[in-house]
Amino acid sequence: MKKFLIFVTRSPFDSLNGQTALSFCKAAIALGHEIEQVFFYQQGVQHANVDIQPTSGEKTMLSQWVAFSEQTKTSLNVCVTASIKRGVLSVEDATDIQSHSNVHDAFNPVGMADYFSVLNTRASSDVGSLVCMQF
Amino acid sequence: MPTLYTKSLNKNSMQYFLEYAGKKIETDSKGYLIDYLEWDKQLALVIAQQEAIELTSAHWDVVLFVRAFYEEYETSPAIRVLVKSLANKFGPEIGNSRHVQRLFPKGPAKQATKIAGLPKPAKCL
Amino acid sequence: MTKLLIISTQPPYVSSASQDALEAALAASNVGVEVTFVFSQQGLYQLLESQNSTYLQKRSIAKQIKALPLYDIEAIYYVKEDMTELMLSSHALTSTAKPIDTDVLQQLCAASNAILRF
Repeated sequence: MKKFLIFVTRSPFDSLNGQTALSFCKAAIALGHEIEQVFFYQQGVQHANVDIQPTSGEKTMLSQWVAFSEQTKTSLNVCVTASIKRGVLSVEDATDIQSHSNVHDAFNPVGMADYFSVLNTRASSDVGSLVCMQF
Repeated sequence: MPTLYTKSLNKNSMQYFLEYAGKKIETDSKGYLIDYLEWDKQLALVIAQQEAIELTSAHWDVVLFVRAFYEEYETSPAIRVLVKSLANKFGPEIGNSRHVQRLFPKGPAKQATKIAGLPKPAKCL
Repeated sequence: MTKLLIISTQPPYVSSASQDALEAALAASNVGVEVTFVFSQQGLYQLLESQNSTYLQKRSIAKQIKALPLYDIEAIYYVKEDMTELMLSSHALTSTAKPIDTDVLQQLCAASNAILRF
């Protein structure tokens, strides 16, 4: 069994990247592997943005991630530094500028260091079983 | 007496200015300068006053040091790097975290860079 | 110690990729990950000493690259073959990065626990 760290870097509408990442996660779990966490960086932070309106007749990526996270209890982590620059505001960042937060509750706003700490501790404890996948 | 004065662009997006000596200097919402080249020593005194810090020569050493650091690397030093680089230049008396913490009680990296007219160091560092 | 390889493949300023790669490197190094930073393909343009980003109102990528060693990132390389392909001269590039061959890059990939490509 492998543990996967998933790294998503493109936005939901402009790229198929997130859809591919989600399909990968589902397939990996179906085969008995584990998803340690999904981390959203660069334009990937837009996956957490509740203000994005769906194209009529299509399912939003956001609703798919939320359903996936509820079913599998997988952590969805979004980089705060990458987010704020792109208008995706955590409650804390929104309060700072007296604006509204638009990060979905299912996503945890974290520092990038958080992702790398997981990599550090996991990789040193069970080398070989942790795999990082960038999408 | 310096005044902090803000102008609203729309309901969520504000422009912030620091006004002193007839000049209007744009800052971000936290009071960090937008353009570090608009800084001068007079302005440092104004920002320091708002931070409730009276600048001594020990403060100036650190403020001018982070400014030189930024001019060379265009990145505001995180606390660890600040302390290490200060130690390299001035020795361990000045390059230690307790010393700079005493000078800038609300966080040396944050306050020294603000007084030096530089951007805030990245959050995750 | 966990080994992370970051490969930066895009030119500076035209997109946020170069800045995002640098920020990832600093964050990783800060929590004790051993970072190797490689410039490949058009990423080599980030190393040009003569770049000036004042007009673009952007912070200089070249200057930020020079700060990497202060954050304990010493392994900084560029792919020599890509330099030739882009008709760049090693004299025009910052000495913070050292040239490596493609097969060395392959070895670095094999020796890393994780790879991020920007």
